[in-house]
Amino acid sequence: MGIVMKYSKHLLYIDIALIVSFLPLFFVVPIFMKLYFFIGIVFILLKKSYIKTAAIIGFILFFLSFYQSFNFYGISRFNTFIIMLISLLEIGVILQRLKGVNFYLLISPMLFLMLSMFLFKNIFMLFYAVFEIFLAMFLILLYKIDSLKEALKLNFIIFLISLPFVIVLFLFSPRKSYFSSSFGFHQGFVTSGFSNKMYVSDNAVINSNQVVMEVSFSKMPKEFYFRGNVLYKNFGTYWGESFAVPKDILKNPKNLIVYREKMYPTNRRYFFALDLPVEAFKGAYLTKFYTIKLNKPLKKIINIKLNSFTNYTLKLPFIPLVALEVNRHFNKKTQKAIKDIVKIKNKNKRLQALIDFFASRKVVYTLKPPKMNPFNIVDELLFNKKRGYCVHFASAFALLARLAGLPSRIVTGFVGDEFYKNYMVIRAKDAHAWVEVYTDKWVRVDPVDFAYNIKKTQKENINKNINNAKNSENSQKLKEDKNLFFMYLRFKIEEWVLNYDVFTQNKLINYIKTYKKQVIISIILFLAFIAFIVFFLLRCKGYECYMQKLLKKLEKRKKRESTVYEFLRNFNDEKLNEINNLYHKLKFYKFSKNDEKKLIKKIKGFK
Amino acid sequence: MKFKKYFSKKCYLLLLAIILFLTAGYFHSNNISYLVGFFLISFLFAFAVLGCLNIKKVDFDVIFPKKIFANTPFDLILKFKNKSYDIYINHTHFKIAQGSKTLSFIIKKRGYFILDELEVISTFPVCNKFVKKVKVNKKVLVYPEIKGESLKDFISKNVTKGSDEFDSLKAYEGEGLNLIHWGSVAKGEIFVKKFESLNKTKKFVFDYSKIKGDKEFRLSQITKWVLEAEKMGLKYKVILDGNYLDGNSDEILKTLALY
Repeated sequence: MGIVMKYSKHLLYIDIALIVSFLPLFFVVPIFMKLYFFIGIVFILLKKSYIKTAAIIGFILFFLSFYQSFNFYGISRFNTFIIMLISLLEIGVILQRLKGVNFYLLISPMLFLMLSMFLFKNIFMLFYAVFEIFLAMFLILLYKIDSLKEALKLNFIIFLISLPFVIVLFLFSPRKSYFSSSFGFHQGFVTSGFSNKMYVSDNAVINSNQVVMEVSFSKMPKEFYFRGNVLYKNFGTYWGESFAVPKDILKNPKNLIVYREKMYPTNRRYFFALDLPVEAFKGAYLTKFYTIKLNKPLKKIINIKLNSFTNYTLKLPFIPLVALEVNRHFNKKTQKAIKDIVKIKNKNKRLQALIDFFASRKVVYTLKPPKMNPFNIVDELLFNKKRGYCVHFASAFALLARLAGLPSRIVTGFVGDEFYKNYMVIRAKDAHAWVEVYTDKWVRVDPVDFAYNIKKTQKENINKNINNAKNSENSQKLKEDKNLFFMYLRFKIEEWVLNYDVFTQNKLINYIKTYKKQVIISIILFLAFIAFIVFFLLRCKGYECYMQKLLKKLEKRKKRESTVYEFLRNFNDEKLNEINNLYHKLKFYKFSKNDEKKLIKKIKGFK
Repeated sequence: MKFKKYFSKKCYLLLLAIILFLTAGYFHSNNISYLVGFFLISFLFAFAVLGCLNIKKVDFDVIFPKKIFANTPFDLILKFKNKSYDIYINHTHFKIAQGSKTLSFIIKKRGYFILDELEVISTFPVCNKFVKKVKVNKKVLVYPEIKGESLKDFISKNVTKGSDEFDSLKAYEGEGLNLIHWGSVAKGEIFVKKFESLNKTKKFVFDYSKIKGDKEFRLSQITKWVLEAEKMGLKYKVILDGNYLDGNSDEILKTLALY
C-alpha cells in the first residue's frame, strides 16, 4: 500500500510509455535480458536504492547474453548490434528508474521506438509505432491538463490536424530509388511443398490454407497460372529437372500486365510469377524456361512490382530427347487406345485428339486418390482407378503426349481463384501442376480441366446435401469474404505505406497530372472533412457558451465594469432579467438540463 | 489581444528526433521511420495551431474582494470567458481554465492600486511558450496592513490593571487569557469577566499620535483596532492629526489608506 501511495502520477506516465515502447523489443532481447527486465521491476517495486546491485546483475546478464558476439563478426551483424544497444538501453533505463524521474527516462521511450524500427518492418510495427506516438502524446497532455476526457479529445484533434500534413509529406518527400534494406527477422516459412522434384505419389494432399502469395493486378489477366519450375525428366516415381535442355526462345510477347506480388518466405529459391515474366529483379534471375529463380532461398517476405506478358510464343531451337523420353513397357492399355491418334500428322490436331481422348476417359478429380503404380500412371488414371489429383493428371497427360510422339514437360506452380476486386490471394492448397506440350511451340494444357465433373452424375444426391449445407456454407463464405477483405486491406496498406517507393511515387505524380481536377476536389473534400471534425471537437458547448456570446453582444452597447449579474440588471430589460436569473440559478444554485435548454432558447430569442 | 510565441528549448529534442527518424527512413528506406518523422513534424504545426487558439481564447474578468489590505494575501476571482488549457497566471497553474477560479494575490503598498493587465503564460500543448497580457484595468483601494497589538490585549493591559470596575460574567468567545474567569473553569464552564471598560456604550479613542512606531506601523495598528472594534461591536473614534474620524469604518479605513 505504501508503495502505491508513494507512486507518483508523474512516474506512472513515464512507466507506461517505457513499457509500451519496450514491449515489442522484449520478444527480441536474449533470455537473460528478459530476465533482467523482471528483476528490474522487482527492484523498482521494492523502492530501495539497489542501484549498484542492479548494475552488477545487469552487466553480468549482458555479458552472458552476448559473450559469443564480442568479436568483429558478431558486432558487424546489424541485428546483433541493435539488440546489444537495446539491452544496454534496458539496463540504463532500469538503473535510471531506480533513481527517479530524470531527463534520460523521458527520452528513453523514443529511443526504444527508434530501435524497434530497425528490427521490425511490418504492418504490425506500423500500427504499433502510430499507437506509441499517440499514447506518448496522450500521456503528455494528461500530465498537463489532468483530465482523461479532455486529453483524449485534444489528442484526437492534434492527430487530425497532423494527418493531412503527414500524408502530403509521406507521399511527396524525396525517396531513394533502390531497394529497401533487409535487416530484421524473418517469419516462419510457408510450406509450399515445392522442390526440384514432383512425386507421383498416392498420398492425400494436405489442404493447407497458409498464404503463399498475394497479388494485386493493374489489369486483370484472363488466366492466373503462376509458373514455378519446369520438369522434363520422368523417373517413374517422380519428375525431375533436366539440365541438358535448350533455352526457350520467346517470340511476340503481347498483352503486358503490371502487378505487385508479395511472396511469403518458403525457404526455397522458386519465385512464382504470372505466366510469363520477361525480366527478373535484383536478387533473382530468369531461367531458360522463363521462370524466376532467386539467388538465395527466400527467408523474408518479398513485395515487388513485376511485368508479365500473357500472350506469347515459346519455341525451342531443337527438341531435346528428354522431352520425348517414355518407357513403352508400361501403359500398354493407353498405347493400344491411342493407336489411331498417333497416326494424325498435324501436331495440333493430334494434341486435340489426345485431349478429347483424355476427357472421354471421365477421370474424377479427388484429393484422396487410390493406390496407383506411378510407372503405369497413364493406364492407372485413365483405365484402372480413374481418380487422382493434379500431379496424376499432369503426369499422365505428359506421358500420354510423349506416347503419341509429342514432346512434353511438366510445369509446377500455382493457380489462384480467390479474389477481392483486383487483389488475389494464393494459398498453399492452390499449388498445381500442368503440362506444356510442344507442337510448333509450347502449348499449355491443364489436364485437370478435362476431369469428369462429379456433380453431373451425382447431382441429385448431392443437391440434398447442398441444400442442407447451404446456410452454413453461406455464413462460411461470408466469413471467408471478410477475411479476404482484411487481407486485401493489409496488402494495400503494405503497398502504399510500407513499400511505398520512388516508383509508386512516380505513378502517383503521373496520376495527379492526368486527373488534376478530381485530385484537387478530393483534397479539398478531405481537408474540409478534417476541418469539420476539428471544429466539431473544439466547438463551445453548453449554456456558458451562449451566455458569453450574449455578453459580447451587450458589451458593444454598454461598457461593462461590474459582475455579470449587475451588468445585466443595468439594462432594465425584462427578458435580460429572466436570462440573468436563470443563468445564475444554473451556475450557482442548481443545474438541470431543462433549465439549460430554456436558457439557450431565451438567449437565442433575444435580439 | 496580441500574444507572443517562443519556441521552448526542450523542443530542440523533438527536432533532433525528427532528424534522426528521417535520416533512418532515408538511408534504410524505412517507411515506418519516415512516417513517425513526418508525424513529429506535423505535430509541431498542430502544436502551434492549437497553442495559438488556446492562448487567443484566454480572457477573463477579475473580481477583487471588498476589502484588501497591504501585504496580506487575498484571493482574486478570475471569471474565464472561454475554456483554455494549461495556463500560468502570476505563477499559479490552471490546468483547465474555465468558469470561476481563484488566484492568490498580494499588494505590498496601501493606497490606490491599479491593475492594468495580468500576464498569462501557456506552454500548451507542447513545445511552444505563449505569453499574453490580458487587460484588467481595475483600480482598487488597498487598506494599510493589519499589524500590531490586538485590541483586547491592549485593553486588558491598559485598563484592567487600574480602576476598571467588574461588571458581570459572560460566555467565552475567544477573549484573552487575563479576562477568563478561572473560577468558572474549575466548575466545568468557561466564563469571562466583563469590565466596564468594555461596555459597548463606551467610546474608544484611537489616537494616531499616541501610538509608538513609524507612520506605517501606526496606521496598521489603527486599522487593526478599527477592524477588531467593528467585529466586537464597540464604539470608537480615530484621531488623526487632531481631526476626529467618526462614523463608517469603510470611510475611516479609506482615510487611513490614503493618509
